[in-house]
Amino acid sequence: MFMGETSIDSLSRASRRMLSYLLALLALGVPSFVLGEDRAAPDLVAELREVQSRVQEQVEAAIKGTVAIEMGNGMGSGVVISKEGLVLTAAHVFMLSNREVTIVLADGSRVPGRTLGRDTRHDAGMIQILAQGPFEFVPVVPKGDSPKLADWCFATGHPGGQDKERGAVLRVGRILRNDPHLLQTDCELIGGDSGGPLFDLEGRVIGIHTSISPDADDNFHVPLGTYHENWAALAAGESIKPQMLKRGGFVGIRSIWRDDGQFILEVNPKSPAGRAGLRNGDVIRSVDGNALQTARGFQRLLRDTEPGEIIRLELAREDSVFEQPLRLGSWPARRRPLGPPSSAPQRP
Amino acid sequence: MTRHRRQSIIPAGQVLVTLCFSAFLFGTAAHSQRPGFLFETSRHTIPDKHRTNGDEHLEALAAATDRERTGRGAYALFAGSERVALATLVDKNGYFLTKSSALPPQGDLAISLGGASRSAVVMVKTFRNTDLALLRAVNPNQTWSDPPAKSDGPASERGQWLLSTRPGGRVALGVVGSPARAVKSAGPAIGVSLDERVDAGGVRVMEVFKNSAADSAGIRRGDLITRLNGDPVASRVGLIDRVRTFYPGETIEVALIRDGQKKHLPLVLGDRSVFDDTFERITDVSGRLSRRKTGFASVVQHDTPLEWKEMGGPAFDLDGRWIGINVARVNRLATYLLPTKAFLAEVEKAISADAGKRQR
Repeated sequence: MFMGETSIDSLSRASRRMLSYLLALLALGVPSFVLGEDRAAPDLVAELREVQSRVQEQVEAAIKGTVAIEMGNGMGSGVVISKEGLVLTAAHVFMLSNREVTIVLADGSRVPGRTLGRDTRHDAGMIQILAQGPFEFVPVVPKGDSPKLADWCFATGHPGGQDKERGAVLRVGRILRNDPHLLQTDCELIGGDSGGPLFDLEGRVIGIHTSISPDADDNFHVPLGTYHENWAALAAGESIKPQMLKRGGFVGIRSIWRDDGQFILEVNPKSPAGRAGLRNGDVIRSVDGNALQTARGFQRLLRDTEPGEIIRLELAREDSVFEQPLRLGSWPARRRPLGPPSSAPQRP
Repeated sequence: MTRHRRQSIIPAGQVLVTLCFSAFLFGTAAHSQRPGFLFETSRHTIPDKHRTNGDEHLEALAAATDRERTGRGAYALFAGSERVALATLVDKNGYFLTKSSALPPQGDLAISLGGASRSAVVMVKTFRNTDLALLRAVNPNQTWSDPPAKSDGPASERGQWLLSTRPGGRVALGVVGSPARAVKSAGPAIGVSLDERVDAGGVRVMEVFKNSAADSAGIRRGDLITRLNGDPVASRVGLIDRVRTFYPGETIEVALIRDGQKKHLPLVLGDRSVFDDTFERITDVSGRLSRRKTGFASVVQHDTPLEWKEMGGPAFDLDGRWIGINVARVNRLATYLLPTKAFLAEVEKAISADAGKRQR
């Protein structure tokens, strides 16, 4: 069971692995990063100058490829990636396939578009512009190519919605996390940025903005690999839905494993989690006194629960840690989206 | 610059290490279902010092940039015992610029000289169009370092780094997100609903919104507002029209009658854009924002994560050239900077007029 995972045996196995890892690094002769020494200061300024000149080489094309997407009252962003007008965006920017949307191009002109497929597991979506091309577009990284931790990157999008005077807004930061289906950067995002592109310094799209938490360093993006995985299906207008393991009680959050627990990306306001007052950005540290220590710990603990049961969550929020009881619900018949962008404003 | 000189951006050692990090982390710990306790708890995201605005990164940056040049000019400004803003030294005879609407209606102003040491300053002039205030040190014998070199500054383009300096030579790092543009005023907000009926000699307050400008000023439901800045108000529409002649962040004096007693309350006007912020929950993810963040003829937007009390300080490019003054914290990703050419001529005129007056 769960507690077994923290046994001395597995810890020592992990420690051994750590040791061999350190030794391998030392043998390669790159100890300064590991030992925490700062790089020589002048290198840092030279590095920033280089980043500045490379971003400035690419930014004009990036801005030209960045579009705003209007659907009903919702506003999001997107990026044109072919001269024929294929647009990558986030799935939550549009709720249904095969619907009319309006695309606002960088020059301010408005063209009709049709929504294609969406992968609701990871928030990936595609749209086709219906007007006659060719359109300004930007390249994407090829399949199998993903950014590395600490790589510089830049983001564009329409924070707060499209603003003609201002245009798309640039941000520069670094890759803080590169999980298979989630990137994290310190390029700050806000409502309206959803669906906008994240670029590498070669001006290639490496991700699409999906969500944030109140912490300024918590800006999340869907990596391009997630699109590549199901490219044909998304382009054909198919919806890819999560295969839910509907076992145990229902909580109503979307979360990922973080260093110190299960990190909540999104709370369904109408779920048990919403009623218990859980918030985006909270970190679940333990369930009924069992500390979460692995990526699958939370899921495993919930598997053995029943709807109606009350569980005790230890939550970390900002600087405080507290206990929150939560009465588990039953799984909804169908997984519902969390509402249109306007009613789920925590998503950029 | 060529686009293929990747190795010069990130030192070779680091590429190797981060490669190892990711291969190791995701190849063996996260992907396998074995419990990789040590790695899952400590290696998932990169450490603070390699984040764009991590403390250690900024330390190194402050050390690397010429502290003498970029550290110049940033001072903490106090009103009474509270630090309310930053101030930028603009003349070595002790003249400073700060964000006008960041100053409270009352309280003695002083520039911090480090530690507990302060130097009193007085207000010389406010500039309504830019929301700047010119301050002068009271003590004529105090000596000041050279202010940042006055220039029109290079034009700011998307992608240019900006170093916003903080007292003590510390810095924050950001990039120009969109070039200079005008940002229309969203208009001032009081935060009350008013009775439409004409009352005897004033306008009756029906409701005071929580945390609004009126709430902070101490206005209550049932108060009869009789005058604004000394001018009588006769109707709801008349009051609204009078308020619209001000900028958000400006202070007006409200005369009112409560329980038969006359009262005079200073009221700092809010910015109507806060209604959108609240509705779209921008404040939830942005922290506290500037009182006035609209109504500028020319501002450069950048993504430096500064606090609302850090407005009024200078920003420089990587060569230490003074670009302008931070004037508004707008949201999670946006700070507005006034480029020097938006205010410098007017400010110099005000300084020489003030200096001339004092010589006579």
